[in-house]
Amino acid sequence: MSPEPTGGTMAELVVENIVKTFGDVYALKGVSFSVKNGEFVVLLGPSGSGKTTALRCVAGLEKPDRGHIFIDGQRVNEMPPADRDIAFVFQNYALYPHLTVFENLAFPLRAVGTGKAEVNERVQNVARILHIEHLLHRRPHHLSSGEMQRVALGRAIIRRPKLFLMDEPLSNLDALLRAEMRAELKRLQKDLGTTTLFVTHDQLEAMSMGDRIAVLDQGQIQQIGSPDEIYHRPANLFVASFVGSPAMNLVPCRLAEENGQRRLIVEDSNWSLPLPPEVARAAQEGRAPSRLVLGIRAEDLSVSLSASDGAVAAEVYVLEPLGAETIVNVLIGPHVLKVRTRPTFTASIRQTVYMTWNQEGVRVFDAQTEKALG
Amino acid sequence: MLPMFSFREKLLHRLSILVIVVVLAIYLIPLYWLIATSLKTWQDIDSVPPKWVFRPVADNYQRLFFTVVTDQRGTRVVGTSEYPWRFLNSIIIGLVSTVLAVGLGTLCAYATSRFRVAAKDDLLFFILSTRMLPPMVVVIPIFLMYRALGLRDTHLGLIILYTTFNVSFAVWLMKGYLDEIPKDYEEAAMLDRLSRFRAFVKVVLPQALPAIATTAVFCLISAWNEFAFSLILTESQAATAPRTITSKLGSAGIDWGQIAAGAVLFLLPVALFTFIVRHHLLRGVTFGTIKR
Repeated sequence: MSPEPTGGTMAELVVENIVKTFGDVYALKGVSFSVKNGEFVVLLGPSGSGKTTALRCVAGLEKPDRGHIFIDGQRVNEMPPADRDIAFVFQNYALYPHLTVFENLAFPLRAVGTGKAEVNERVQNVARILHIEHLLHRRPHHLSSGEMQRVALGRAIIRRPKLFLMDEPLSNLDALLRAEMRAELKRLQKDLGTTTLFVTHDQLEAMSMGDRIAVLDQGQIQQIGSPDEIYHRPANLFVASFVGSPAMNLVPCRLAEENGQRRLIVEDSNWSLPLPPEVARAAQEGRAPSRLVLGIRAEDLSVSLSASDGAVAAEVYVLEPLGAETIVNVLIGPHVLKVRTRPTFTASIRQTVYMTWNQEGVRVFDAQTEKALG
Repeated sequence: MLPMFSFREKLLHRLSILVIVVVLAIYLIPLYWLIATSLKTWQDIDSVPPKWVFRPVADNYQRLFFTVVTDQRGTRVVGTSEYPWRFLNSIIIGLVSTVLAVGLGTLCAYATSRFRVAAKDDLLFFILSTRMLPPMVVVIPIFLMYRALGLRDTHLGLIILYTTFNVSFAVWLMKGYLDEIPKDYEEAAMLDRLSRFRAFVKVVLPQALPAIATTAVFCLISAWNEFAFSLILTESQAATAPRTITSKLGSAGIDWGQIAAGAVLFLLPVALFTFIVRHHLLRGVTFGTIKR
């Protein structure tokens, strides 16, 4: 896609402590986040986490029970959707079935009485950016889902709104097209520079597209941060297990004395690790909880067929060759850990292998509060 | 090469054609007989055994529209009859009540389909329950009310009555259809800076056309064919065609020719309307049976 020559307007979105209930059900329990000028923020969460409700509150399609929503510093809680200058891309695209692609793209312009010549010019311009010039005279039901997706995007960008809201716009595409559109959409957003709030349940989409990610679960924000922070420093067990493929390895552990040194011992196993600095600090101050969970990413573990100093013996459970890499599942005591290795690694089931780890990648969580230590 | 059909397939094919012919005959013979009767002379109508071959005459149609007198100076037209006016009454009352019933029904259906309305289910049941009474049960109270309000024998009176009866039907039919239209379309339109009402008009209504056509046909047929209230509530001013046709069943005998001519003309407008909206109709009648 080539950049839109005229560029979009920008805006800052601030959501403060919004609460939304449907009957007795709390969909949002005090959610706060912000999207800066030109930023691409992803709301990530499983289904039922409240992410779509949050998006609809921002759009004005739902009214929050409490809390404030500001667009460019102006409180918009009471403002009807039409006045918020927002473009929304729906999961099912919501292209008007009785109108052609041209008319669909022209709809937001005609709604505000834009002149015929300008409508024509802008529709052609957007059609060129999205490569849909040849579809302009078709009706939506004659389009493939990928083409519908482009038209839906076109209808959003044609208005040059202050804010893009996107509700899982890629989820109806097949895997190949989704991967392609991820990159195109991200590039388009950067070219247009329009502030964007994007909702998805797909952590890969969130990681690859977002400048920042807000992870939502059960109507509450679990963590806000850059993809790197979310991936490497998850704030709690939910984020650790939800983000990343494979998810972070999580095993129960406790603090114990070993040869006069305090170490982390993984329950029911022979694996003991030195304390990460934040745990050591907590232990020193006597505020280390008794039940802990150790978290470590698959790429921070490695396995070898030969024993080495400091390696811990493990049993191969199963191998998952993925082409570019192989995920080795190993048993440490009763716990299955996923280890990312080179694709040439081979071993047979139940074979003994030797596992080492990158101490930097070790995260420790309080088993009770599920929060990360430190 | 021609496709080869087994004996069984050929037999089935012929049987199905036979069935279609029989069914068509059952539907069309009365219609043929009606049209034939309207074109027969009194002698041909009255003959036993019935005449299949006859010389068509337009007498019945002439006498339907004009007052014809026969005396020693011969047969001549002395003025127009009441039938054209009654026919016009039927058209006015039928069309206006259909437009009102479909309009009000669509708005009501949209409201119950999209908004949180207190006691919505009870209200919808109440709306439907107005159809549960046989019209004859309420005819006396309505007669008394209409007399008190001066609505007897007025177009307005019948329009209000037919609209009332049809609106419940329209609400239910339209609601079923509107429920099937995802609300994302209006939301998209509202975010595209239309008001709720304009979004409804620009985005929902065009998609609801099949249902509107279906509802309109049913409402029109029901208002067009209504007989009992027209008979009791009207005399001349607002009398509709069905009531006029039966007035030919007089003490001086039954004028079958005129009744048939009146009935043939009476069939035409509804048939024409149904023909015009037939493309929408097929989709409207089968909605819900096809996963959209």
